[in-house]
Amino acid sequence: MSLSLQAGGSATRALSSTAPSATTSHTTSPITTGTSVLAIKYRSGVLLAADTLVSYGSMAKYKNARRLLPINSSTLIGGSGEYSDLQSVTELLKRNALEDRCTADSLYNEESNEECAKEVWSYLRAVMYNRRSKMNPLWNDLVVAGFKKNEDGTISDEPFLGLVDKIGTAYEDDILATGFGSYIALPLMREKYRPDMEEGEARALLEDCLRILFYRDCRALNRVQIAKVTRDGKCLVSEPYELDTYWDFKGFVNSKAGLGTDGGW
Amino acid sequence: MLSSASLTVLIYSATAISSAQKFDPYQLNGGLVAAVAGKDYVLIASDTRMTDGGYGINSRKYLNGRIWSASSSSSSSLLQSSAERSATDESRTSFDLMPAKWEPDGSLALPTRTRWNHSSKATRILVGEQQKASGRSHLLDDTSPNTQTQLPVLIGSAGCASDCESLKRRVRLELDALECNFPTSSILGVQSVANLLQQVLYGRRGLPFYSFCVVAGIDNRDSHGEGAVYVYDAIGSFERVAVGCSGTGRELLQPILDRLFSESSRGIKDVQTILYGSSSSGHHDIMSIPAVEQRHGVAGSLRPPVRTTVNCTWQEAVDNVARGFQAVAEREISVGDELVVCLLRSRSDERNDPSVDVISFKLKKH
Repeated sequence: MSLSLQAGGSATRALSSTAPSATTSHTTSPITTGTSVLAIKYRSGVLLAADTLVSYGSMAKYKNARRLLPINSSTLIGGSGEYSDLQSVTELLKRNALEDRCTADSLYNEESNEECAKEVWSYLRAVMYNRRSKMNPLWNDLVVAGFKKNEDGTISDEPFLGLVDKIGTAYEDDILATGFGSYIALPLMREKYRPDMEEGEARALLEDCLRILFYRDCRALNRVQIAKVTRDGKCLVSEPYELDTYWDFKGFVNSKAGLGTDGGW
Repeated sequence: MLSSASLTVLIYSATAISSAQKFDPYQLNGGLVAAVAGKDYVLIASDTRMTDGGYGINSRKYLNGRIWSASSSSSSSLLQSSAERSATDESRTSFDLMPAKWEPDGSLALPTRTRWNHSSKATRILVGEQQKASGRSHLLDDTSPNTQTQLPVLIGSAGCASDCESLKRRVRLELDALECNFPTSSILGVQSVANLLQQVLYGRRGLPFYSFCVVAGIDNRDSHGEGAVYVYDAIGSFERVAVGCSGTGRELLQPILDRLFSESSRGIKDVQTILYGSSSSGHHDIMSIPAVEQRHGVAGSLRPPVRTTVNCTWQEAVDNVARGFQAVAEREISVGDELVVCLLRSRSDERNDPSVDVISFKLKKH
């Protein structure tokens, strides 16, 4: 395995490899990684949440990395996994969005020629699946949020939330979580989810899940971002902010909650 | 000195990460599909659980790559459900028949538990009348000669979900291309779809589609409207059967279904008779065909040594499949949440109209 420090992320690195050996070495393991992304549908759209940490192995390397990104006027993606691959995927999607905009019938109507979230999701599935079939994967789990299109091409009222993973597995659901969050946050969200949740409720639920992830996931941070897509076709991504934490729970303070062992948890 | 030591540590720790996560292009996302061929119907069923390849459940309502239509995009949308046609016809059955809805990409949409209401039925028929008036052919037209060919061929696939999705797109691409080249020809029959699927699967022999399929359709070659089911492995070998299943837990489901259908086909529940056969029938397995009856045609070709349709009503078949899935869901963690059965009937009422319906059952959630 090579640990090249050449710029451009693992994707470029693998493609432009000019090693004299006959076999091309591909990225088969992530290096700088982001952890969970959480997502939930609510009454008037979709909410996404993620922390802003990118780790290098066990080192907390970048503490202000943004992993929730708008890629056109009404679609958001959230990515976990290799951060450089995420940047390259985002660039690809933004390039497509720009092309859509430049080839639109009208430059003044922003939404006229844009891909809806479901189209972006479907496209990403093809990209990820092609890369995995070449054994040169983009090491990401991507959450795509937005709204579906009507038959006439206008954006509908039906929210969309889908996930694509590094081998091209794609599925939709009302609640999604990637990474460590799929073990810890997903069951909590399944328990609390209702289709008619208010924004405040959904947001509180996501913050609770992020906080619990910060307590339990060694690669998580309490510096987080929340993003939403709403029915009127707007994407909003919050600035990073810090979650309050509380470390005086009995289970945290007393080793083995008072079982009198050697002090380990 | 210090920097080289710390670099070594960095490289060492990074190598430790990489050896822990090796790239595997496959994931076994669970899912179990089954199909049953009857004399004038065929049904295909799938659960809706998608796992992460281990203990995690990705989604409890995944159906997109599980059951999909292998008939070109334009043909299957007009088919009607018997649920929307006549409320009285099905009222004696205990199943809640729902109209089949299709996603734009040809997959079966997850049924919503809302009963078909009469107001929408009225509008639907009204649209039909208008079409008839404007001279366009459609299914409500009784004079249409090939209504039976309009029944779609359905494919169920389980295994690696990303491969199943890609397989779906590849097969449907072939069918759409065929329709573009030969627009006047009717849609492919079930046997042709079965052969096409074999070709597509075997075409990826080097990096196989890790998807385990069943094909279900109505065989119209001798105009009997008999059900036909084919069952596959991941690299394309296949066989026509009466009852087939594929995916995680097929080893559990197949013997259960064999047993249930052998009871239904004989119409007897007596254990002694099931195990040892009645003295009149002479052989034990009701599905097997004696050698003399296998001979077929002047050339002396042979029919399959087992029957390729079951001998029971569709109600019994649906009931058996539901019981089978419920049993498997008790013991196989990759199977559960919901069972969706899609039923194709070549003659669903007195008018001999074909129909497509969906029935849903709850399965174990944990």
